[in-house]
Amino acid sequence: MIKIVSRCLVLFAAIAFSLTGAFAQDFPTQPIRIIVPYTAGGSSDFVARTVGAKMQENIGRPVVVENRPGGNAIIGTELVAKARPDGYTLLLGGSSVLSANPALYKNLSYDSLRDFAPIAKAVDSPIVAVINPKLPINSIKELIAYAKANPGKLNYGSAGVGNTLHLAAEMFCMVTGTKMTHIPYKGASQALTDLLGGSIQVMFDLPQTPMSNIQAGRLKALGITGGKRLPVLPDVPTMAEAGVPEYSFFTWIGFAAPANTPPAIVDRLNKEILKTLSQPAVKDSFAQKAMVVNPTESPEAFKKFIKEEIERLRKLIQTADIKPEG
Amino acid sequence: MDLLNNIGLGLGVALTPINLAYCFIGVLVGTLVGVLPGLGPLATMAMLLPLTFNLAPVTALIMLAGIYYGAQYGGSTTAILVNLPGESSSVVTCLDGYQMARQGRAGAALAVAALGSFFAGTFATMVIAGFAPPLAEVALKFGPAAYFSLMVLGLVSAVILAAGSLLKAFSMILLGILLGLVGTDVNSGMARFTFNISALSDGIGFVIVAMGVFGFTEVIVNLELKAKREILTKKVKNLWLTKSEFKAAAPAVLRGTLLGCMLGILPGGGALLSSFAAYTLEKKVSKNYAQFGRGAIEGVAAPESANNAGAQTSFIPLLTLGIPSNPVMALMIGAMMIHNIQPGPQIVINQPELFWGMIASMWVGNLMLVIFNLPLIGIWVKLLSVPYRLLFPSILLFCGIGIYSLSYNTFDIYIAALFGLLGYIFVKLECEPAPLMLGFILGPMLEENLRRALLLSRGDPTIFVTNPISAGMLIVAAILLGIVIVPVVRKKREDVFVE
Repeated sequence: MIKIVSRCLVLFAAIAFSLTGAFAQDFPTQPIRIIVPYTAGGSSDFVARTVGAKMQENIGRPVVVENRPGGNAIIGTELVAKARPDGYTLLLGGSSVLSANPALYKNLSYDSLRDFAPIAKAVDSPIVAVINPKLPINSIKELIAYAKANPGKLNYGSAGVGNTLHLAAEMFCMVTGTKMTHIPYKGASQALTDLLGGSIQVMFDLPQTPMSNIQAGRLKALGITGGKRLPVLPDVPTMAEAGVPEYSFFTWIGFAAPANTPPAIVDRLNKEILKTLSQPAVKDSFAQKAMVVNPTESPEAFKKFIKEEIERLRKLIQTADIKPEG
Repeated sequence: MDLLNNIGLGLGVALTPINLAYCFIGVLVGTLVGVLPGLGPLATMAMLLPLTFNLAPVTALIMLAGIYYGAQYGGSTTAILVNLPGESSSVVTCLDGYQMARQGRAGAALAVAALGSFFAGTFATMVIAGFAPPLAEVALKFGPAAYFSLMVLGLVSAVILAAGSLLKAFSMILLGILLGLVGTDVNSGMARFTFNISALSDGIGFVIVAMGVFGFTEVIVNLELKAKREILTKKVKNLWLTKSEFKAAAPAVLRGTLLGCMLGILPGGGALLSSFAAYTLEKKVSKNYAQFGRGAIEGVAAPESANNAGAQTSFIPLLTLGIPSNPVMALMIGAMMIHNIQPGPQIVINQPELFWGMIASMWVGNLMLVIFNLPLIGIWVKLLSVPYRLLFPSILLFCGIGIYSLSYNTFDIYIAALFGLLGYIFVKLECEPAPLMLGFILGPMLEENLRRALLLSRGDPTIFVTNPISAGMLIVAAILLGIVIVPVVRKKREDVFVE
């Protein structure tokens, strides 16, 4: 009798253990949701959809993108932070959500390092300095000279207080010792409209938004951050070439899962994402939108990267005294 | 002529079987989505976006565009039948459209909405075809000071929007402005009146307030008037427009169309503002002034044409400058990006078949919509004869689903219910919701642009008069205000409503 019971116990234990192991091997058995905390149509959305579509082909399960915009991307992010850590709900988190928001807000409803298990960074996007061509400025050096001669006179636009574009501009001012006036808007396209119209003169933006206008000559691009010129904007010098090598600013987009997601699953997702990013078609499609595929090698490396970014931005925000109250 | 060649090229692209099919799917889905309260074209386009991956770029864009302007057609249906604005731009249609339905003229209201929308869509398409680049340039000239003055003009005309007492109209506008302040302030990043509820950090949604104040309130009011309501819906007259109605509506359609075209090109303007503006203009200009708010056909014709014209011309900044004028256009940019098209000034040169194909298919889509919607009028009107005890739970259910589909947040439904209650109080106090809605939209825009203009001028208030566009609009607003305030006119208004 005891022999039967103990045999059953051993059997059950064996099944139970193999199931937990098999769980990670069988993953995924359901559709995977990628939550994008922005409205459909932006760069983050594009990254999610492109990577998602390729991942779907590779793993044979549907990968669905859900847009949950609102509250400066906090609503969608909170959603994933509180989701079940089973690997079926992922966050498309970028620099603003995972590193800028924690540095900006004192009472953030999530903690990027504690509430998330970072999976992989996907792409980097440089920042381009664009001006309205009516200005008598043709290079970064001239911009700095003009700004120094007329402190506070130049207006630059951003997509909101504490937004990436705001931080990028403030970093430029900090590094070059200039002062420009910040004009916040409700979105980069609104700022772009006023830049084209001439109400504001400068923007430090992701290249994708003003790209067509730069190519058509309606806006002048003075310089781009990063070590290499962009293939889509070959005439725009890097900041180093333009004489300001110390100005470096990047936004990045990556994927994260809720904290406590089993490491085996995180690793599997990491591998899948890196696989899609290595395909030339995907690389090209991103390159056309001024995004450079630059993945971190492992989830731990990504976590370390996020931590460093938060520190770096915290310093900038304190120095530039940026305070979005509430 | 160059334009004719281009239109020919466009029609050649738009009339291929596959593009026609997807155009039809787009407008069909758009109409259905427009009829459903709450669920809007933006959410639907986002959901259908993956379907477009394997389509040719032109086809994908044709379908998505069809959903957008199809929704404008559908939104008027529920606005007229049950006082429920299916789309935010149909809020104004509720005012006279629903009154017409209660008088048994629902068929005529639906017909004029469909025909007016078709005319506006056709006209707007021609405007885009002929004048897109210069109009985009005009739009760029509107800086913050000009926008501010436009908002002031809008608010002054909001007073005209109301039929009753001047004091009540002002109060509702002010209340609307105050409600519009809820949310995150653009210029400082500060959250105002959000009580730490993250759902409120982007403000209260316009659609939610509209559904509460128009739709839910109407249900409550009707439930109170139990017996009376059954009688009203029995006497449905003919389903078409009488000759005199046609004659009255025609100039309204024309004015609405022109106004819609002009406001649609302004980024941030679009369909919503144009319908309010057209209603106000029509009320001021029409001889049938007294009937507005009571079932004047011009009060349906003008806003319906304007919102369609506005919806179409809001494509102009997208197609010529690559700048989205509202979230729906931003999604279109996303769709273009997915298909590796760069929207902007070069599309006309680099991909003329895309540009002209889209424009031609807008007209084709409008044609499909009017052919599709007119016969349905009979069916929609039959819906009115459903006993109310069956109708109102369905209305509430669809509203609930629609509101939830916006942000997947039950909090929004509570807010709508709260506004339904508030709306009922307004009805009892004889205050009108329309000025509140206008204040709700215009107030925040007014504040944002005022502060931005002053930031740019470093605190110098004379910027509002030195900028020519801004000065012009402020002058018109002052004149309008004078006309409204002058006691003689006020006495005349009160006399008319003492009947």
